[in-house]
Formats: sequence, structure tokens, C-alpha cells
Amino acid sequence: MINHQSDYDAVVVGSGPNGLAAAIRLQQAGLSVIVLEGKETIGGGMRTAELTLPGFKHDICSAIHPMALASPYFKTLNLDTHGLEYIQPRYNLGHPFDDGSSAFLDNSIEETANSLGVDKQTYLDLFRSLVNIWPDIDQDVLAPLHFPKDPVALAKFGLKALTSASFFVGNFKTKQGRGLWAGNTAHSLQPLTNISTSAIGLVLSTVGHISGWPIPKGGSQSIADALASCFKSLGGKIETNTWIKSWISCLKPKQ
Amino acid sequence: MIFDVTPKQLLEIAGHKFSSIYKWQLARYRYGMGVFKVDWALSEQVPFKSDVCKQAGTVHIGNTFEEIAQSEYLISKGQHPEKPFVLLAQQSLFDNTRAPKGKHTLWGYSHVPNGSTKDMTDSIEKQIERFAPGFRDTIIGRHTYNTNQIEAYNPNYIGGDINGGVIDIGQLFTRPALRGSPFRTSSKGIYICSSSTPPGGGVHGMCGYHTAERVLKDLFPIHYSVKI
Ligand SMILES: Cc1cc2nc3c(=O)[nH]c(=O)nc-3n(C[C@H](O)[C@H](O)[C@H](O)COP(=O)(O)OP(=O)(O)OC[C@H]3O[C@@H](n4cnc5c(N)ncnc54)[C@H](O)[C@@H]3O)c2cc1C
Repeated sequence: MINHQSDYDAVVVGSGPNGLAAAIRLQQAGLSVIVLEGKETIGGGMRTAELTLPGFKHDICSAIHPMALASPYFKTLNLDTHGLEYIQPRYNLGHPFDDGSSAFLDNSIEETANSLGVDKQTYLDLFRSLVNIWPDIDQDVLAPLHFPKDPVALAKFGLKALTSASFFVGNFKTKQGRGLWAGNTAHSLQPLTNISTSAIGLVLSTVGHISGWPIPKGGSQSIADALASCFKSLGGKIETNTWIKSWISCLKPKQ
Repeated sequence: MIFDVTPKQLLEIAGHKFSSIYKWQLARYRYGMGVFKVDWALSEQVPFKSDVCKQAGTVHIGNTFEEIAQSEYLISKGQHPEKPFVLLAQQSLFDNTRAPKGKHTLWGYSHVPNGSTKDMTDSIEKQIERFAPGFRDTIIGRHTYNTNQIEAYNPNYIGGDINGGVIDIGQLFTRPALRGSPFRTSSKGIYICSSSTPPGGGVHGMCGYHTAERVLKDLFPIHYSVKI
């Protein structure tokens, strides 16, 4: 149980990807950090378990990890040395239609565009330019509002990203191009007429063309386990079965 | 203290430490649509008509733009669409550690109104069947979570919202509250790092990373200069 909190410089409550990332960064900087997790296992939205029958391992929450692979911070952690292996499916995404046809998102922009009929050129122009500027803007898109590293490149992205998916879909003529766009922007969990719903669709497709939409071998739990292993290798401590439901004065870290 | 929780829980745990303005800001933070989650154990892979879908890690079921937009619109109005947009993942096609040999797992969810307890299994399976006739005959096991059960499983998914709050234009840059730093609370030494902060939902750790940078700058300036 929690007793020696005051021995630590920082206490992190919750072991999701964000709690673990914060804990690792602080431990890297030389602080002593403890992570307290309410449940009996770590991982937050990255757990895998036999939910149905023995031998069937299901991802309870997250399953597909374009953002984990594209994460500017996770990239620096060499999680492969902590046992994490990403698998790339043949197609990132399939999108079937009633008439038996389907659209898809492949790692290759060209192959994806080729399947979109008259939308081919629109798709090529859009995603070639976004894939080109992504390395200059990824840190800014995935950060709180601040002065960007490359304001011109970021503006190119922002002007498109802030539109609504329903407005932006006007760029596409075919059922395939329009359907593919709808599916990717629906990840915003909002009506597609809301402004800025284009952002998530643009980001997911762009990183799909750069690093793919991979699945972690063994399940999303493997990402949690690799982050925990990285944290512990730096000297970090984790305690599970510890819910923090109200303020406990012993939580005050030393300072 | 750094909290990987959303504003609602932060208020419960540490509300008495915050200024009244900050408490008011956290209290009006908005959560979005929830999800109804289904996991299946299958005797064989999903019999999609489309060859592409038989080899895809993710499948989006919803047919046309219009159909998907309509489904999301209805949900935002608190209704349950008859033909919901369904997201599927077929991990076991590419990772043989997920299921016994020859058998498969399927992961899926549809969006539902926040806090919904309606069982969407039938509508979701009908949608899959539409593009993969015979799908129902392959099901040998099933596990479902409505939004209440998801929240009980992980208290960060308030009302089943998997993004830790709506990422609309009102909360895109100001999650969880409009302040100099979104990660700092009004109480010195207390920070929030969950997906309720920028850049929002998904497994990428960037909210946590930026929070840690903020903590180092504010409280441990000497350590901040230690480069990674
Ligand atoms: C069904 C579903 C599908 C998803 N699919 C994907 C996907 O395919 N790809 C993707 O990138 N993302 C996906 N997500 C979203 C992703 O899981 C989340 O955005 C991500 O996990 C958020 O990370 P976090 O660190 O902010 O919080 P979480 O991962 O939610 O972690 C919070 C942790 O804190 C713990 N905690 C909370 N309160 C307390 C307390 N008071 N005391 C102690 N511990 C506490 C919780 O138990 C939990 O372990 C999905 C989510 C769900 C639910």
C-alpha cells in the first residue's frame, strides 16, 4: 500500500499511455517517480484479456495504433528493446460498399489513389503534400497551442484541418473517395458538420501513409508492458490496486 | 502530483484545492459520444464479400458518406441509428498469438449517445452481415460493454467517451480549461495529463509528455535542462 509517497519527487495517478509517458519523462530527467494505478493491472486503455473464450485474446479498449507508432515521444524510447513489436496488416483499412466494391487505405498513396477513380489526382495532390510537410508539423499538431516550428507548413495543414468533414468532402466526387473520408473523420466522435472534424481524418490518413496503422504483437497490453519496462529500467516504481478517490495528505511529494 | 484522469474525477479528488474559477471551468467541461463495444470469438475469419476487407487490419462499416454522416448526426441528437457506423479490427489475421490456430478474434464498436445503455449487438451484427453474409454463423463467443460498463471498467471513459471529452472547436485548444498551460491546475504542484488535455484521445502519450515538460519547467528547472 501507499506509505512512502514523500520519498518521491513526483506521484503519477493512473497508468494509461499519458500517465506512463509523463512518469518516464520525469524519471529520465533524474526525478524519482511512483505511478499509482487503481486496477490490478497497468495500462489504462491498453489492456488485453481473454474476454470470451480461453485462448482468445481481446483488446479491451484500443486496438489499432497509428498514433503510438507516429508519436514523436514514443519514437525516442526504443520500445522495441522492451519487447514491443508492431505488425503491419496488408491493408491499413478496408471500406466495403453495398455494391460489393470497396475503398482502402494502403501505406502507398499511389495504390490508395488508384482505387478512387476520378478522385485519384485530388487524393494524390492532397496527401503527397501532407506527407511532405508532416515531419515539420507533427510536434505542433500533437501539442498544446504555441508558436509553431514551421508556421507556413502548419497553416497549410490548419486551413484544411479546421474545416468540417461535410465541407471538405466536396473535394471528392466518387462514392469510394467520399466513403473513405467519412469513415476516417467519424473518429472525431462528433457530427461531421462540426468544424475541425477534418483534422482527425487528415492526421489518420497521413500517418497511415507514413508509418501505417499497425497492431502490436500480443495485443495493446504489449505497449503498456513495454512502457512499464522502460520506466522501471530507469528506476521508476509502480503500485497497482491503489485507487485515489479523495485527497490523501500523504500524497504530497517531497519538495 | 500528476493525474491521468479527466476533469470530473479531478474535481472529486482535489476540488477543494482549486480556485472557484478553475472549479467552474472543470465543471463545465463537456464529454462527447460514447461507444458500445463488442468482442467476438470466431470459428473462422469474417466472410467479407470484398477481398480487400479480408486482408485489412481495420474495417469501416457504414457504406456511403451520407449514411455515415446521418448515423453520427442522429447519435449527437441522442438517438440510436438503425444502421450505425461500425469500426472493426481483425488483429488475429496478422498476429497468431491472439487466437487458437484457425480461429479468430474480432474487435468492434459503434458510437452511441453519451451514457447510453442500449444493447447495440443486433444492429452492429446486422451491419457486418450486410457486407459479410454468413458472419453470424462464425460466432462462437461474444463479450459486450455498454457505456456504463466501459466507465465502470475505466473511470476515465465518462459516459463511454473514449476521447476524454469532446475535441470540438470549443475544446480543441482549451482542453480542459482556457489557461496559460492546460496541464497546470490552479493549485501549485497539481497537474492533469490525461487525454482531456491537448492533443486529446488516442494512444500516443503526447499529453503526458507535455505535462512532464511543464512540471519540469515549473518545479524542477535544473532537471529540465537534462536532455533526453
Ligand atoms: C473501446 C475503445 C477503443 C479504442 N480504440 C483506440 C484505438 O484503436 N487506437 C487508439 O489510439 N486509441 C483508442 N482508444 C482510445 C485510447 O484508449 C485512449 O485515448 C487512451 O487510453 C487515453 O490514455 P490516458 O492515459 O489519457 O488514459 P487511460 O488510458 O484511460 O488511463 C487512465 C488510467 O488511470 C487509472 N485511474 C483513473 N482514475 C484513477 C484513480 N482515481 N486512482 C488510480 N487510478 C486511476 C485507470 O484505471 C487507467 O488505468 C480506444 C478507447 C476505447 C475505450
